[in-house]
Amino acid sequence: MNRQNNKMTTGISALVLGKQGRHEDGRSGVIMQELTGYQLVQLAVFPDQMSRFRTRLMQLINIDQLADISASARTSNMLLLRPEFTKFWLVQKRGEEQPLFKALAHYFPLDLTGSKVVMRLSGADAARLINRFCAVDLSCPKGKFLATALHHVPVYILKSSATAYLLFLPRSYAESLAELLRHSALQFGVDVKSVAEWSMKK
Amino acid sequence: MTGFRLDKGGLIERRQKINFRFNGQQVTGFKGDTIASALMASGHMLVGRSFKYHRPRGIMSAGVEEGGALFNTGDGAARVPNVKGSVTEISEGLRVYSQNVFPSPGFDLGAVNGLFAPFITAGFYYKTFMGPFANTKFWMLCERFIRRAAGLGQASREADPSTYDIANGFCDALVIGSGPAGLTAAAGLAEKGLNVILVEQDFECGGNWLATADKIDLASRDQLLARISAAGGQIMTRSTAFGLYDGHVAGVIERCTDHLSEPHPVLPREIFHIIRAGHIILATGALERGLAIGNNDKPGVMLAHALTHYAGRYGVMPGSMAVLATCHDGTYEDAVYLAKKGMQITLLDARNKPSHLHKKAEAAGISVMLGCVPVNIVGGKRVAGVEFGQLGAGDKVEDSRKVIGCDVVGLSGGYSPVVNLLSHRGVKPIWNERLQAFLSGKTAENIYTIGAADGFYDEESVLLSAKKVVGMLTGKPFYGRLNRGWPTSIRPLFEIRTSRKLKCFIDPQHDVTTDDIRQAELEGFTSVEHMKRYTTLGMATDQGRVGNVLGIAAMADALGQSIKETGITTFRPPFTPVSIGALAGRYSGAHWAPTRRSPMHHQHIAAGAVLTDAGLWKRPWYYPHAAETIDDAYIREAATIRQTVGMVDVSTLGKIAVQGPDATTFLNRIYINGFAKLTVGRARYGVMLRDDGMVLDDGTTWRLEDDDYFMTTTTAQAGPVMQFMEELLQTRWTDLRVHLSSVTDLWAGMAIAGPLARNLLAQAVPHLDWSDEAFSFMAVKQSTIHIADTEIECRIARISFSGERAFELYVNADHGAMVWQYLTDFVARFDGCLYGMEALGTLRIEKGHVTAAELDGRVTLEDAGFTKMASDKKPYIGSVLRKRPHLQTSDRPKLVGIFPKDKAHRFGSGSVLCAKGQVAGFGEGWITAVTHSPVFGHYIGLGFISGGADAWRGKPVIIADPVRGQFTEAEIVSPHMFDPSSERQQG
Repeated sequence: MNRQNNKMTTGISALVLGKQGRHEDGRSGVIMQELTGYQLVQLAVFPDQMSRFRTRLMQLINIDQLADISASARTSNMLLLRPEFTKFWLVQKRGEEQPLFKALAHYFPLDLTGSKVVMRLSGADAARLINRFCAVDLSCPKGKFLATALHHVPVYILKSSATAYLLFLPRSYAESLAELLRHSALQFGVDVKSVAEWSMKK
Repeated sequence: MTGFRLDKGGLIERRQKINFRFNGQQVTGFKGDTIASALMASGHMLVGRSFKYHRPRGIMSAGVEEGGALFNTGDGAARVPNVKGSVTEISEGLRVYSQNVFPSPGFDLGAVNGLFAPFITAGFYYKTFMGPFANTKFWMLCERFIRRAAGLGQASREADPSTYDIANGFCDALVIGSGPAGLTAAAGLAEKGLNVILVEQDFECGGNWLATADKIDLASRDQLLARISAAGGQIMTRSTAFGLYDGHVAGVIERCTDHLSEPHPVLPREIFHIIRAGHIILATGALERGLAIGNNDKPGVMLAHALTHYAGRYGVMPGSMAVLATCHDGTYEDAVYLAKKGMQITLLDARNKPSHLHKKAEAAGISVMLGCVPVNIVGGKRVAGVEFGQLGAGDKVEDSRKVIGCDVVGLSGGYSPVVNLLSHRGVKPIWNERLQAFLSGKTAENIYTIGAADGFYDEESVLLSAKKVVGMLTGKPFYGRLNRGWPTSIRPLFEIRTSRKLKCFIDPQHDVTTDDIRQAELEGFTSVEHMKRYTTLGMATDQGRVGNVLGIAAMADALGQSIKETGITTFRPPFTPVSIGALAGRYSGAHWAPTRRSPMHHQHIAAGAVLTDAGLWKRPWYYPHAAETIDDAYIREAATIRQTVGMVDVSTLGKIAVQGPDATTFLNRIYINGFAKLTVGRARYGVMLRDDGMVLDDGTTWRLEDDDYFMTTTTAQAGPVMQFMEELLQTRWTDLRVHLSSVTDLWAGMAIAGPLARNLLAQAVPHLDWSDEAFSFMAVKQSTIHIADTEIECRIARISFSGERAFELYVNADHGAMVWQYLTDFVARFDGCLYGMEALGTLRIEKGHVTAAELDGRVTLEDAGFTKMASDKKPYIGSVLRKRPHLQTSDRPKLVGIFPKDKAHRFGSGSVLCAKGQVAGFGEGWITAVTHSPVFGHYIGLGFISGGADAWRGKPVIIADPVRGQFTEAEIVSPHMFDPSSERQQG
């Protein structure tokens, strides 16, 4: 399926590309980049199904344990996130095998890909920038998946490495929130990169 | 003699001159100077006028307690009022203006107020403008003059051009204050592995170590700062902790750019840090308090330790001959230091017993006069001398009127530990008789007070108090003896009264005197909280830092009770003034609220749409052709849809996936109408009630699979409906196996409406059968749209809000723009149009369809005309309480249509509906929506009127808009004004 999901860099964009703001020492404190080319499918599990779901998931994607709430688990090609107690998000590169979701049809697979904009923030000041808006302690371990709010809008943040974060922004708010983030990032020196394809390495 | 700069010394950088302007006049200072130190060094001792009496005011302190040197800084939009000169750094080109002066501090016309001083004491406004008259008319008359004359600084009326940030911080330990105690605690905790943040309101760390700029002290400071940094601690200067809140949360304002000569292009002016800490250590120090003596507000009267601060830190001598008056040992150290700097000192000590520092003072050439107190300051616009007296038996002052000539006076009545922040946590300060000061009470929270803030004044005890807290928090107790106060006891000394009638100021910022306190007591304001409000003592920028203890002491004296019995007022945030902009952060202007954009937002812009706000959404309002007004455009758009076809973006509707084996049961309980028999591939219009029986929302729900529904809500109620349904599942119906997921952002929605809608879609999506038989009203299809080589999944329902044959089509938001563009081309081929909110409103008003304008939370099913929809075969949310008797009365306002009698007349929503000849009050009803109807050729409206259309048949009503003076005769009609049998949408 030929999706066109470059959600912010088309039309009037919140993301003006290139280096901007305070680069006094030539360093970009923050690198912003929208990620695309992923598929995000939600699975919903009733509490009494949890054990069976875990077993099934282990069989299908070789994941050894379910992510806790506010945590994530990963395989070489798939990310398992748990935004709520009964909900799981599976994120993978678009075009990967679909039969997985057919095999998990009991768990109401819901393709939420179009509903989110994934923004990658990285750099030495990425955490400071996020903390300009979100009241979450980002000194947490890598792999934490945090439900928080950015300007009162519910967002999820995955700490993907010591200095990199994936922000899952509701699509309709994404331009507005990205604009806020970019404006504030100017004080750290920001480099806005063009849209990149989803990769588990990011 | 005026203030002057010493040839050497101080923490200023003498090689780096800074020029700024004071009341238009150029002043030169050095990097490291404050406004006050630079003004003092250049001989400016008279810097402003007082708030009420316009008395001459000079620099009084060297810290945040300043009540005299308050300035406006900056011009135009960048003007900042009530800037404390004692703590504000100078910067190149800074513009500083005196407050409360016209035309200048030296010659101020407002000083005439002083002649009326006996009449404008505490409570003047209340008594003069409220009391003698029966109503407030006199106040209304005087208010504008009073407001012009009163107040402190002047805020700019222009929008603040600065940017501000709000930041969230987290740490194990937050240390507030970087004096010897704070630095020691921060270094100790950081080295034990705690994540430490140290905040300091000054632009330099060191606290009281800065006062004398002693090299050994500064070396200690630098060593501690290096240890904190090396251990990973974070040091924040220019950062004031202004409030403590629940859960060890501190509000801290960091000033980022005010000290720069030019506004910074990207740095925020201030950052409001919300710091969540595991432990909070208060090393906030103690503030010196003055003495209430006659004319103690004259320029040249300062706090005694402030003289040391200016001489030591800034290399500025406030004068050459000083009288210091005290009742404790601390001032001896100041006297000795100043004498060494070359100042001629006379020290009045109220105590008869010599201090242990007496000999040291005499050795420094200081004349010490025991048992003596100052009575009155002599001089015109600045100090010329001090009248003093001897304290006799029973603390009676023998007022000899003898004068000691001097050009500066340093007063010290003791120190008040800064207990404000812990007071924010509801911890009442406790009066300590031995220290003659309030100390913080105990708290169960992880908040600890150390150093001078806890009454420790000698350096050994200060450092030990910090080490003890470090030991306690790291599990390694530190032992040592702590001594509060000074070796020789302080003598209680607050006001020095004689038989003379003198103005003894206790709050120079608000011109509050001890006589005001006594007057408050005489008039029955005997609680300190009432006294504070009646006299304004310690209000505004001061927040009780200067005059609180003196005021309480005066009140205690008037009541004939102790200070402990009198108590203290409650300190509340902020500790020092906070810019409103900092509290708003970046959430101002276009970002006051977050903006929601539909997936087709940029297509609407490209098509020339004028957008409007619908909640947080930006929605197309109308699509004007050249030179069209809004009225031209929406009437054209509505007419086009009735004639051919149009397309509108409905992505903003709330959308919820309802999934699970009990989804049908769940829907059947929340909707008033039955959903149990809705088959797969069909949609149903439904109405929900709140528990109290009032209408919550309406919308359609589509059955996609046996256990999978797609619900739409109104744009306005999307959030509340989702919340309510979650609440029901999580608290009341926990046995139901249902999952809810908001999919509002997932689906791009477009409605294609009009007589040619079917023809259009038959061409655009040719593989579907669009016949009435195959696609009947409320039918649902899940299919695909093929655009070039792309196959796009979609879901379509034959639903109508416009009253025309119409289809709602949803595709994944990723494809929204592509499909919208594709269908727009077909709309053009059928001579149709894109239409916006205004035309959508026209169509639905003609049809009598309700929106949030009608369903405003006060409406029942009967009121809105939904009674027949309600099932009587099942219970549902609100089914019991909707039948309360008073909701069933026949005279309740009911939904109606409104036609003007004269078809040329225009009327507006919000008008009230009154019986003809009885235009009064709230009338019989109101109008919720009005439009010009192209099918009727005149304005029409929807609204509510008591009894509904049947009760008003044949009776004229008046549409009354008394605010605009518009009154129009109208007739009440059925709300279903156009196509009441719905042949066009269902046929």
